[in-house]
Amino acid sequence: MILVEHLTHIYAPGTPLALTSLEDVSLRIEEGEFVVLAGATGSGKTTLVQHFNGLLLPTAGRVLVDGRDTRDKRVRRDLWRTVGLLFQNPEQQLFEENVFAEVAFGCRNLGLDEGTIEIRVRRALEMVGLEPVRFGTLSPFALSRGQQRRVALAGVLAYRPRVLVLDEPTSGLDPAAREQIWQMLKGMQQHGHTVVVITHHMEDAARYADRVVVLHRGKIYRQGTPRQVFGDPEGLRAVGLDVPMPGELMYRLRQRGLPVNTGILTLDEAEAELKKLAPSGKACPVM
Amino acid sequence: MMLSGITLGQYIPGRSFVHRLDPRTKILASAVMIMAVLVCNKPAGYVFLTLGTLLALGFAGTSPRLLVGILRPFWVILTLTLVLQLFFTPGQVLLALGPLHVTREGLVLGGQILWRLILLIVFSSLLTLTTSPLMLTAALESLLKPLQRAGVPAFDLAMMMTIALRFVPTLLEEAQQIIKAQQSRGAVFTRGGLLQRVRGLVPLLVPLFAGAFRRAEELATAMEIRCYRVGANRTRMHQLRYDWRDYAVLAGTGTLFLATLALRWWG
Amino acid sequence: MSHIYHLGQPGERIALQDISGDIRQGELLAIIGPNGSGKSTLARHFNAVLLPTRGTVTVNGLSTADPANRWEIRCRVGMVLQNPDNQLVAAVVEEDVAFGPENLGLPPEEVRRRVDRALALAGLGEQRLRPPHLLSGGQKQRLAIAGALAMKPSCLVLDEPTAMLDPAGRREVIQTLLSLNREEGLTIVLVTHFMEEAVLADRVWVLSGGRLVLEGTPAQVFSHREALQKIGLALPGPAELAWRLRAAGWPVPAGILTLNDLVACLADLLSETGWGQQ
Repeated sequence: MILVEHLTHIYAPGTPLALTSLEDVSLRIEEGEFVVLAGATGSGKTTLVQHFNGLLLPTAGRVLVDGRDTRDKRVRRDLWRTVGLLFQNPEQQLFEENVFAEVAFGCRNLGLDEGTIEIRVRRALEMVGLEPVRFGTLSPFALSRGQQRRVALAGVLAYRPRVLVLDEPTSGLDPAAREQIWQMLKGMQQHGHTVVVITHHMEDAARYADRVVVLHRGKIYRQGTPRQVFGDPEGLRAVGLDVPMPGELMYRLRQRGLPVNTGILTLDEAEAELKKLAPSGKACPVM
Repeated sequence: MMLSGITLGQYIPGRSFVHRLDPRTKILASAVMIMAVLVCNKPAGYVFLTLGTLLALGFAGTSPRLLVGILRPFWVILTLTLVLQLFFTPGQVLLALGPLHVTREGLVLGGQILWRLILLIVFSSLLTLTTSPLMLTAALESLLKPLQRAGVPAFDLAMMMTIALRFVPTLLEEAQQIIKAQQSRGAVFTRGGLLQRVRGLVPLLVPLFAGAFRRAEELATAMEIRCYRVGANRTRMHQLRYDWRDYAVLAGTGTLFLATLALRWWG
Repeated sequence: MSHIYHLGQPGERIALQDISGDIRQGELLAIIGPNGSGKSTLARHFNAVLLPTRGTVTVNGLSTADPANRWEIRCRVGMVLQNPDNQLVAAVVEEDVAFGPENLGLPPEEVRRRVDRALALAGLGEQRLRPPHLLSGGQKQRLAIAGALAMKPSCLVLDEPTAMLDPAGRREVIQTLLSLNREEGLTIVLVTHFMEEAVLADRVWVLSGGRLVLEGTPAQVFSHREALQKIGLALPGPAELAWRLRAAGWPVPAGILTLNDLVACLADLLSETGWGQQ
């Protein structure tokens, strides 16, 4: 689906402020995959995803989407239809007078007819949990921050790009709202979309990603299934990331000589693993 | 819309001779030099001023590369000025390109104006490059102090300027982010007729203003929290003090100005 | 120090309703709650940025409603906001820290002393001459903390200071706050939606729909699992796992909040009973 080959990106090349943001990154994202991009601030995540829809062009190397090179101007012009990119804090890009028009903006740019737009906008609003009848006519500026975030998200869902790329979609949201967004994204994957998410929330990454790619100072530091990547807590901490709590727990119990499996990602798995050691609580002597 | 290289008015910290001058000296010297450039009309004057500029650049530790960066945003204006003067000044024809004639007078005038513009740009940039916005404000405040007594709110004007300088880069960056975000959902800023283009700006301008107001509100809160009061007397951690360097620079620029003036009248 | 509030805001949207409580000298208080629960609104009442519609807020006996007290209160209660970019005024680190003391009209030498000390406390001594926009997120937020410290407050209120930071930046800021609280005796009010941060506090307030619904030590507050879930908050991971094991009949004691607690408890439990040797 998306193929990145030896991508290097330098901001303001040839000036005193030149900054190498990505260096020789190669990456392949398959159709229907759920990929999480992780890394400390300044590791190049945002720069990388802005290459996926042609907003940025490689200084060296190339990016292919569906086999087509993003450096080709004609390819780039229509790339947004295939790769829907939602920026960080997308509530700051809202501008229409009502929620309906805001969500319809992408569809209108696609040139769809009003009937189709109506259906798609309704569907998208339902998907993000905003009742179309109630919210459609409100001004986006009158909503809470969490609701604005969902309106922006619906704006991307409505024009149905095959690839969804989201830059920190859950930053600043409370646990319940965060959970809702991840569930929705997993649903999109089940409907055949490819999903790429940038996040700092490693526990969420562990639960939802098929593959985790960790960037560090513009290079790929680790990649693999969550189990492979999170199996190395020390390595992740060294590049400024957290390790999901359940994995960390098992890792430390193991260090203390307990025979537990360390490839644990979620609380449910941790619970099951511990219960394997003592199948019934009743067998435990009371302390 | 891409901003490459040096943003206009950006401060680059350093420890050069010019960086360490009293900011008031730098403001006064820049003003004097700009006046000198404006009154200059003799080749000898340009030689003096150019030497003075080179000296200032040298003492500021400005690399030739940075100099190119400063001038780059102006290249369209500079070229246009030169071309217009070259072709549209009547006089002795040096070169004929079809209906267009390059004249001797055009070459002289164009070169003069071009050189003046470059000197002006270099001088005003040198001031902002080597002086932090806060020092600049402190200096303005100090220079305007006599006016405060006459009822001009010099302190508040100075603070307004600091904040404007501090947020120009932030807002430019934000504008770029919004453009990219809207392009990501299919917005087109560069196609269609005039009306379509103007309408195309709405998705940029509405969020940009909304964002600016939000920032302004938060900044106002942040300043209030730290006890900023309109019209109150503030002190300064960095006290401004003139020393021999400042007197030397002021004397130097003053002499240069008088010399150019003298050349204009009697040269 | 003590604050007493009886807040209420009538009008179309009631942000806070009938909140009463006090913050004690030297404590670390965490305020948690879902988005829109009124956490930030409450925090802005502590230093007279917002004034109560009904009821009173007092700081050391001074009412925030009295305009004569406003500046005195703002010197005593410093504040740090969520977005570091919108609260930095100057283009050089040390000049930004100096902004507050300069507003107080202090003599230059005193401003200098305060700036040096604040930068040292926030661990930014080496960055003093750098422009703030080149700092990392965690450093920018520590700079905002230094700016507040230069006012010599006895209490620091932070409104979701870590919400926009990556994990490393979050750790930096939390470490700074803990050492200010433990070593300098500074009272700290931390508004956050990270449960892992609330666990580090002496006391926790839980807000929901503008009301104070739970209050107590972290152990007390996080023992109300269902009540928290109902308002959209989750237990910190280790507490949740401890709860589940206890529900399955494991003799896991109540009050487990951090990973360290849980590791120690499970290691004891499992090796004592010999399972570890299987």
